Amino acid sequence: MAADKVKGGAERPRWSLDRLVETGLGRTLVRIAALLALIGAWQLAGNDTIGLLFPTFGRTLVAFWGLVSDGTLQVALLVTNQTLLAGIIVMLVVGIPVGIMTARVSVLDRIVTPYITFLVAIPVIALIPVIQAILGLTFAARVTVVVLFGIPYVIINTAVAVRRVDPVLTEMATSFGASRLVILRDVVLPAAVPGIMAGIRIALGQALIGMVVAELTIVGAGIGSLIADLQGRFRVAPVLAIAVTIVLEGVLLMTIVEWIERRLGRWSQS
Amino acid sequence: MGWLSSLAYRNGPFLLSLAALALLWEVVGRSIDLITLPPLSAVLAAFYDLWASGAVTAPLLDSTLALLYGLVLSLALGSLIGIGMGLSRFVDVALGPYVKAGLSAPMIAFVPVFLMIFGIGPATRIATVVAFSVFIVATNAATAMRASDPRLIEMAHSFGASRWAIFRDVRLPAGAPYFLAGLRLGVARGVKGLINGEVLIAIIGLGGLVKKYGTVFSMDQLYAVILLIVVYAAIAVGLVSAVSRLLVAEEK
Amino acid sequence: MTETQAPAISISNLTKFYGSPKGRRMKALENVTLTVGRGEFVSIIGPSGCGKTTMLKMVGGILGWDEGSIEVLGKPVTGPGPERATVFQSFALLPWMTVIDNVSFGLKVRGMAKPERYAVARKLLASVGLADFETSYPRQLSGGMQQRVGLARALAVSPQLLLMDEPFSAIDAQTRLILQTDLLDIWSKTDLSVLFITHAMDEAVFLSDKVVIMGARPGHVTDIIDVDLPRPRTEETRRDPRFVELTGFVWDRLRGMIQQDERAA
Repeated sequence: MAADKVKGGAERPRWSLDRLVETGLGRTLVRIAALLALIGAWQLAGNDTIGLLFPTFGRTLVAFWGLVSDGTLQVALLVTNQTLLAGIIVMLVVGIPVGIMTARVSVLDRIVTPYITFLVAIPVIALIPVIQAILGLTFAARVTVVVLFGIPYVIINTAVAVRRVDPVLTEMATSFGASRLVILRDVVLPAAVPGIMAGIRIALGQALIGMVVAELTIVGAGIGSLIADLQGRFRVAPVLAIAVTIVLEGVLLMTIVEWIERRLGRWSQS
Repeated sequence: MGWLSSLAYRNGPFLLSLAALALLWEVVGRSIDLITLPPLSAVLAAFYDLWASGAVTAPLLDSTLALLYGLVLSLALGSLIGIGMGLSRFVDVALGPYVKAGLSAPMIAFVPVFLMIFGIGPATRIATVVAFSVFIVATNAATAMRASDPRLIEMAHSFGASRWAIFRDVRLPAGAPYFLAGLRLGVARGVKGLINGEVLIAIIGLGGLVKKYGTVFSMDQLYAVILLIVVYAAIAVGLVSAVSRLLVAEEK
Repeated sequence: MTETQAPAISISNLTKFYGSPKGRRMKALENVTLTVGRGEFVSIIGPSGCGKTTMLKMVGGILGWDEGSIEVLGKPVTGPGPERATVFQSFALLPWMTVIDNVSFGLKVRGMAKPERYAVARKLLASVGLADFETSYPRQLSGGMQQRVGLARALAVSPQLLLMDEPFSAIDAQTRLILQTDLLDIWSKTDLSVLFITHAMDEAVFLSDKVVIMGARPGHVTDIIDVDLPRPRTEETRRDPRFVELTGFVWDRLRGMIQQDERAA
């Protein structure tokens, strides 16, 4: 006991289960076991009869295969992701410049920021009837929903990141005679990249919600119509399969963005 | 006078732009007979009528109850998972990935599934609230457990304190702000989840009203309902942040 | 006086006000007059709040003043200029750039092409002893090495005047001594004039031809001391009785001010 104290300073885990996850192999095994336990619980909790009951893992898997084998799911996902992609592009192309400008022009900041705060505070979904009334059941309407869900986070985080750039760095560049434009390009923007990426990550999470909401409320040819069709025929398992697929897509996209964030921000970690 | 001028300086441009926008809305709404844009005054009048008629009381109550049940469930479940993760590396390794995924993935995709399984009753709304808020509560509970100074825990150990005593006297007080932050974020997400769910479910509750007015195109009433939802969300989030401020102040 | 004979820096009757948050105007500097000759090494030392860094920023052209004048090489200062370069207290390196990109930053701003500016940067990295660290990132270097990069960056634009703002105050005491001799070594091979801000008495005396002592509230010059220690200065210099005597004199002057300040507070 005394030797332990000297060695690490911290107390060693007392539970034997904690010892299990001390090695990489142990962690992998525990994760696989957890996944199997989850699937097992799902299988036991589910119901194998076709009806409006929680379907088992097996039946959901079969339903998933049914959707994939004839290409229905792929086509729906492709259509839906076009909305997401367009939304993200608009979000970045508009959000980052607006964020930079709000950080640099104080009047603009005092005008824009309250509206952004408002967009964050209110449930954007409440605006969907308005969007639908103005733009109809169109691609543009769905993209608008995605953008409204995500863009406040891009703007806020960009503005904060630009404001937090160490003033000594801009002072240094000024002392070498750099112009405002050069300072923005070579000092402020690179320094703000980690903050902007954090904003993009949060915005992506929101945009994914926006994508689903847009699909389900402003129904087009994507997963929205697929779900509506399956709901009409009381088929729970394929709807669950679609939901899990979307969640997994979300996790995948978030992981990719986090990876990019870490790579771009490597210099900022000491 | 000093505070007035500083208020005018800080919020002046925003208030001015807000007034300009309101005026523009009113003028355009009156001059152009657009079905999608009723004048602001009509919206405010509809908001008053809606409130005075009592048509919103029952749906508001339904929604609030669903929110409360959902939040209590999230708090219980999320704290249990989070405390487990914070205290044990094993639980953290086993459940961490799912909590992290649930935090960032679009859980709203499950609403159609809830709707089919639970029907249009309160269970669907409660499940939606839980799906939206449980992971943030768990994450913050885990952080709360890890927030305490390891030297304090070592000190308590050296005095022979039991695990429970350490939990109660060291970990809980140190983690309280994180718990409350988790609760506040949980409510914010829960309210969003509820309203998202409502709009999707679109039969009962506030969202039901949106759908109803949205489809029959009585736009002034529709905007009034949106206004109501916005106020509702703001009050719910504001209430929790006020309460948590009070609690943390008392802790000190 | 023709331009070539003009002193490196000529500050006369410099006065600067600060607007405090409550709208009251506070005097930061009052009637400061100071000359740095060509090729001279001058240090400014004084208690915190005496406006020494403020003054350096004005000479650098990144901060304005209210009354008086500042001339650099006989020309009035209107902004930053290519004949001046600054070394910063917190190094001010761009963390996302490699060492060589940091060193050539000033040249990039001036529009020099990459191969040329890298060639200049390599020469300077060698002179500060960092030839092997071209592709490292600042965070991979120690504080002393980071400031060597900062020095190389300033020298890369071949200035005639080096402005140094407490450059070694964030560096540990032993490394600091080595940096001092290295700085003198580099300086002796050039005709650079140096204005050096510091709060370390031994550093001021060891490095300088002239030590300027400033007092606070408002900032003003109290003494200008000529340091008559022979050059080149080496580790022997630190044990020279005259060095000890001069350092002691600077401390006496500063101690009086600091004690007065504490009584007033």
